Amino acid sequence: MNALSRRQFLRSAVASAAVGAAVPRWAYAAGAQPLGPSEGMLVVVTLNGGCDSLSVLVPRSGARRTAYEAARRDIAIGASSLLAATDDHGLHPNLPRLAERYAAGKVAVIDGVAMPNNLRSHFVSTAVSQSASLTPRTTGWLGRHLDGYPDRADELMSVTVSPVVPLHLQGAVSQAAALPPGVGLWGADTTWRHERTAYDAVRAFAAAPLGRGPWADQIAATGGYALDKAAVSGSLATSAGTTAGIRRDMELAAHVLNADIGTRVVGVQTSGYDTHASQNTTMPRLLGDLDGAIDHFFATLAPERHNRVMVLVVSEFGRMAPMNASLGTDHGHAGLALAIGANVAGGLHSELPSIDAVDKHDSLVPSVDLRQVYATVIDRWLGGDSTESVGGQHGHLDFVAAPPGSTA
Amino acid sequence: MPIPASDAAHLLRRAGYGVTSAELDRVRTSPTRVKAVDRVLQLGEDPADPVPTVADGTTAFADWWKVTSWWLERMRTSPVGIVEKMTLLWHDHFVSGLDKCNSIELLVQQHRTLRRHALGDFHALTQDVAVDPAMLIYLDNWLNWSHGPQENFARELLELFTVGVGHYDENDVGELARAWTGFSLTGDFRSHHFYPQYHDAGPKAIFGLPPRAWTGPETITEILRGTKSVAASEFIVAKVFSHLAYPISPGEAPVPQLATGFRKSGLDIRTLVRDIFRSDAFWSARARYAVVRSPIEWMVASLKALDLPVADVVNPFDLAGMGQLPFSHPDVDGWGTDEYWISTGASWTRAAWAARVRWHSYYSGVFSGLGGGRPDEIAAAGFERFGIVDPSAHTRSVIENWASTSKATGDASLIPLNLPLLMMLTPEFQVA
Repeated sequence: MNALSRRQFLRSAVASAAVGAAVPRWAYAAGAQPLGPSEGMLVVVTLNGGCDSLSVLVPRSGARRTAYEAARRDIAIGASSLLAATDDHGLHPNLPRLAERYAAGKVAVIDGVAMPNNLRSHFVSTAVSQSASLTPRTTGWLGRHLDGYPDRADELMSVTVSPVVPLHLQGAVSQAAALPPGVGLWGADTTWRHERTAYDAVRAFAAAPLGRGPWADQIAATGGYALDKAAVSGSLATSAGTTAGIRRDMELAAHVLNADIGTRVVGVQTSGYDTHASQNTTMPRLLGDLDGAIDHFFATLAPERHNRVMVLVVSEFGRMAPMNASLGTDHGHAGLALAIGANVAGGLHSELPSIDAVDKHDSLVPSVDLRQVYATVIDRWLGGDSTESVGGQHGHLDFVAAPPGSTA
Repeated sequence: MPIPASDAAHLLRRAGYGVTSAELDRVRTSPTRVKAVDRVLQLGEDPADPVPTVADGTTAFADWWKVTSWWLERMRTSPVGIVEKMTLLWHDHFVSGLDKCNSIELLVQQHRTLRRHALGDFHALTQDVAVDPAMLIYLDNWLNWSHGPQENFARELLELFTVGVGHYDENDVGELARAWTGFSLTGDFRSHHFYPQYHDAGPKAIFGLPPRAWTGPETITEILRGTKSVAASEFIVAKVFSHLAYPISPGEAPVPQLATGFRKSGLDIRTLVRDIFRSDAFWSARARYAVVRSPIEWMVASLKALDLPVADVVNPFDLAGMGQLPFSHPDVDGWGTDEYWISTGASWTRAAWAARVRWHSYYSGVFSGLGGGRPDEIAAAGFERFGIVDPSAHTRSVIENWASTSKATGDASLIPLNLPLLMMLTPEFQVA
């Protein structure tokens, strides 16, 4: 295998992305390049399970409130408890800090969003929405976007704060580094000679094809790459002040972006949103955690990063309009996305789906194609061409108030 | 003439969690592959219901760990690895998680059901799981009432547990949800109870059949033995085949052929596993090294090789960091397979664990004195201990070079310390 094909082999097999801690001194030493001052960074927060959009942006008055109360009878959230948002809608009472940001014009709400062919299965919907493709693909919209960058394999272009990589960050050649929170990384300590000898051996596993199937070669390549990145990533993985949950993961996301070592996209996952039953005991807890985590993220983010970072919150689908007899809601279609950040144009960016004129499966009918949200993020925030990464022309929304690095 | 060592090791990796010299010798002496398969499927040595008991209705961390560490230790030591392998597969198929069930006692009860049927009748397994309290809670079926059916369980029964997407429509989901109304729990949440007054006894139209007053359990029988039996059997065969041989989709040969045999056997899982192991596909080049060891499989195989008990060296954070906590899946679809377990995160967490385990190995005397040997002897001892009967030439040379360098730099005494670490991290040992 010559040098070029060796490199191509590694690129196809390996995670291609980088991480660092608050002070990037050692990160430069390890070869990582900071982004330019006008390059955007993105945190994608995925609410697994299918978040109920009607529990986030809740009708407060008017005809939609009447329809909401009729559909949600026993689990309708009291109008007086809602936090002010639009004229006739309010945010869930457990989202006080998000409501403050909304009032400051820093939260864009895209309600009624979905891929057109939602099949109401968690897994099919996750695959369709994260790949931005109506038929299954093995790469995600952000992974394909990152594939377009020049080959700078020394960097952690994307990071996921989880043991495994979600589909939206999978590229054909780029793959997110999965940062295991709280784990000390073998390879970071180069003090001991015998340890360095062992590092060299593990790196050498990837130096030639093994003839033991594709997985073995991929494991070898990924293992060598992880070793190379251990010094950069090691202090980040253990840098959070909190011990678990989305608050900890969002804190780590902020640390990664503060380090500015070439990371453009960070993925954070949280679950529990599949509220088929007892929704009003589950959602307040989940939304309260989310609210605190987002606020903690921005409090941790370095001031000079604020106009370069956007947080995008998405879920695989919304839920049915009517409640079921378990005081919950079943899988629906249209749901809600949020874009949050200093350069976001706040407010409602979509036509709200009707609650009484639902589809034949009692689901909210989408008013916005999810790919419009993606295309906006790619073309107006991350800087790229969405016709390739998202696929086709779907139009844009106006939730980016100013480009990264400038003042909104 | 005995079968080749590479064949015996392939079978042992798939039928259990590792390859010790003793097991290799036992299986190798089989005169044919078929006899070797029969040998690993002898279930007589498996003790009945050995699962530890835990306190009532508790979520106590200590009880969760008691059961989890017991299970891992059993994977390590059981003479009948296939029972553990299949129990883990069903645990990942019929997912129910502590996050929602809130009771390790109920999950242990479910574990007993999965274990009892691990190589038994798939129809009975599905029926028992459907009314298992942990499953009733996890997928909300206990709250599925006739006056407002709720489809969580009905949808996953079709999509994940029996036939898979493409073999039913949204109407079927809704009608199945109605069929399952009233299948709930006793007041103490510990047993299934049927409430006829909350059951929708009206006619339901499923799978294009004439409407009739289906009940939940009848729909399982219809799926597995009636209208959907071909699709369902192929769906289940593909899942088991992917676990034991190589990744495959339901339509791909030899799945349809194996599924025919599976149906003829009355959905007998042991027959299916035997037929998979006897198939040409299982012994083909495509099947070799074609499965990535999940974190649990890799840890158990490591501890089996080093003869170290789970309780001494595994802690819950190891499993959490690697993303594979028993009784606590990320969602109802369970864990992924193969590439799902390959990431920088996996590399870091596996290396961190291996770097800790090597000290336990060192102090228990594994490889003691080996530093005095030649590099090729050192490498050979490592491969043998870890059941890597056919290392690649490249990996062998990497290990020999490492041993030479260690000796040349005066670190020969640390060879027994670091050899287990390197063996655990060889690509060969991370696949099955």
